Amino acid sequence: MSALAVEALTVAFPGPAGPVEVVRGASLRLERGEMVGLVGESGSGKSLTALAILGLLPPTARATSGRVLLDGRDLLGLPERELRLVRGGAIGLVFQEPLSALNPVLTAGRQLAEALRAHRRLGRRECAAAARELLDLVGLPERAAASYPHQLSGGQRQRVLLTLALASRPAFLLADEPTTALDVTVQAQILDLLAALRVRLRLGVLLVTHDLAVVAECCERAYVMYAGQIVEEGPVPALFGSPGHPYTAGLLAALPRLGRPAGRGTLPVVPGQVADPRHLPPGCAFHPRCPQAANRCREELPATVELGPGHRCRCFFPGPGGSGG
Amino acid sequence: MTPLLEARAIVKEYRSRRSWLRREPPVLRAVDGVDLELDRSETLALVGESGSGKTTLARCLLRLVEPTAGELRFAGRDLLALAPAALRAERRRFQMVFQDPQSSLNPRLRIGPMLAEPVRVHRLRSADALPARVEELLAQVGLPPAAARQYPHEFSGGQRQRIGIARALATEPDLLVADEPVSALDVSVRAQIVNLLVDLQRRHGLALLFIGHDLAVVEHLADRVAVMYRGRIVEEAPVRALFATPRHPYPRALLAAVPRPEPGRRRPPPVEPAGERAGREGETRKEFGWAACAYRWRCPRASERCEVEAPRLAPVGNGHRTACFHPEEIRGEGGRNFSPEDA
Repeated sequence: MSALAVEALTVAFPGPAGPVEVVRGASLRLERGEMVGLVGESGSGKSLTALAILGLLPPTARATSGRVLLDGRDLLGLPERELRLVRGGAIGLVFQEPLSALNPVLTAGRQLAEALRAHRRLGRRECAAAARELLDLVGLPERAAASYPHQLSGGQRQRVLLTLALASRPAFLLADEPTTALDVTVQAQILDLLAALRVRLRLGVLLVTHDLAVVAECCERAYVMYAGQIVEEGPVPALFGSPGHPYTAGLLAALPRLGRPAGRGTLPVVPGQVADPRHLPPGCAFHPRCPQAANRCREELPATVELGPGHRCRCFFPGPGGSGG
Repeated sequence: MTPLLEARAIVKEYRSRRSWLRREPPVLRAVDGVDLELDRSETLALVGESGSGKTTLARCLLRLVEPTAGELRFAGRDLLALAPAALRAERRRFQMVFQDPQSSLNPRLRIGPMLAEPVRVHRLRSADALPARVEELLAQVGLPPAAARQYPHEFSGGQRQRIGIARALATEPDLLVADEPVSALDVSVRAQIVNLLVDLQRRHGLALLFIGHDLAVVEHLADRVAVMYRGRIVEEAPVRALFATPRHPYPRALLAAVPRPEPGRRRPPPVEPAGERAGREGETRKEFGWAACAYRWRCPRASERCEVEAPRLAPVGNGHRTACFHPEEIRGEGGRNFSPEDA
């Protein structure tokens, strides 16, 4: 069984007062054919976790401990040359902003041909056939290959980016906010496309997003990150139905929802500001915003507790009681 | 009573530069004949996808860009006829909150002088009353008095947006235009700012023009909603009516596409925008101002008439206006995909 696992990963940036840890012991697991959400706000460390998997951290950041296992092989210590074969090999990646991820002076077809040649060593004719197949797979007409990125719409660009990521027939796809820059109608199509690809190619998809609604719609499991830690993980129905961590509960309560009864009541809020990794509070990083924080939370880091099958959370007082106090 | 803001047939065109390749520079109609009214104490939301012209329209309404054509009245005065000095004075009464509080606040100015400046310029307080006014403004947006001595970079995104709102309130405006004020904020902070806007709007009796693409936020805070598509308003209605029974196929598609935080709910399959799939996006982009319905490429109901004639925004009952030759009929309770029971 092919699987991608991150074990106790820590990522740090150098800071004036010592290293700043932006990912703090995150562990997650992704199997072929499943779509898993990694949810968090800005600064939660979700994107850096995804980038660390492929050794694509910004130059100053370093994975200081932990392992990234692809079928049992640790990717963290791999030399660059071998890592390049994994990147866009067994693991594909798509970014939020397809316009900046594509080369503006090459047609979509040229970029696709390059990816195909690099990873599959195909000849010219086979290359053209493979390109046609990939374009069809993501729902683009063949003539899109002749277009430059600026001639394509946002949704089309994201589809082109997907063909590049899929060119090497990866087992896993890391999608970092793939629909955030898109309009809702286009977002719906791209999400449906991802769902279809996942079934058809038995892709394991890690969907990195800040949008809980997208996770509810597409994923069967999800991880919730706050201040560099995974504070809750579980099957989506359990996570949304009975969130264990007060942060998850607060986020869900604070979401305005369509079709709520009329009247402009006050939306429930998560008080305070998102934690700053440079000045993390002692104990549980969420305690300054937590409606049920006790003395213990200010001093001690809570361990992970089991709430149900596959449903775990890092809190001293987990449970439905955490729904916004 | 006359509405606070009244816009008639607003048009804004942008012309590409002339080049030796094409003699006749193409004209892009970003706003294509928009009529809009906004009453005192009312919240109108303007929604639409990126490129639909909502920001350009808002900027035209405040004369931050000059409309190419149209009429604009603010509290009965012809805004387009005002000379620059008179316009500057009138600006006190309508203020804007921007999407990105990072780039819209001067990084070198402490918050105190930043908030005091508009008060001083418009001579709303004497010099010795300025510090008290700054403190009052900070309190209104939930910031401590000490914030006055700090610089923008010392605040988080949500706090910076509070400062942006305080600056807009400094001139005691009648109208606040908020352009995607929560889109750049974290989910957990978004609700705080939405609550703040609703609270201020009520407390000061402000008219609020809220530009947004998050339909759930819009449903929460708007009285009325106008949906833009390719420079035109395609549907306008009281918020309940628009969300329960959208008549134009575009808002219907928009609402159906919104993901919801309810696991297990099956979203109806997206309406396939023909343009998106067939690579026609580029062609349709040029069509601003054409005598045709701009939505016809994507519309499941498009007929021959939609190809040759642009539907005008017309009343369909209950304060609901729609620009469609084939509007959805209202059948019994609510719409098909998004009746309140469905949620």
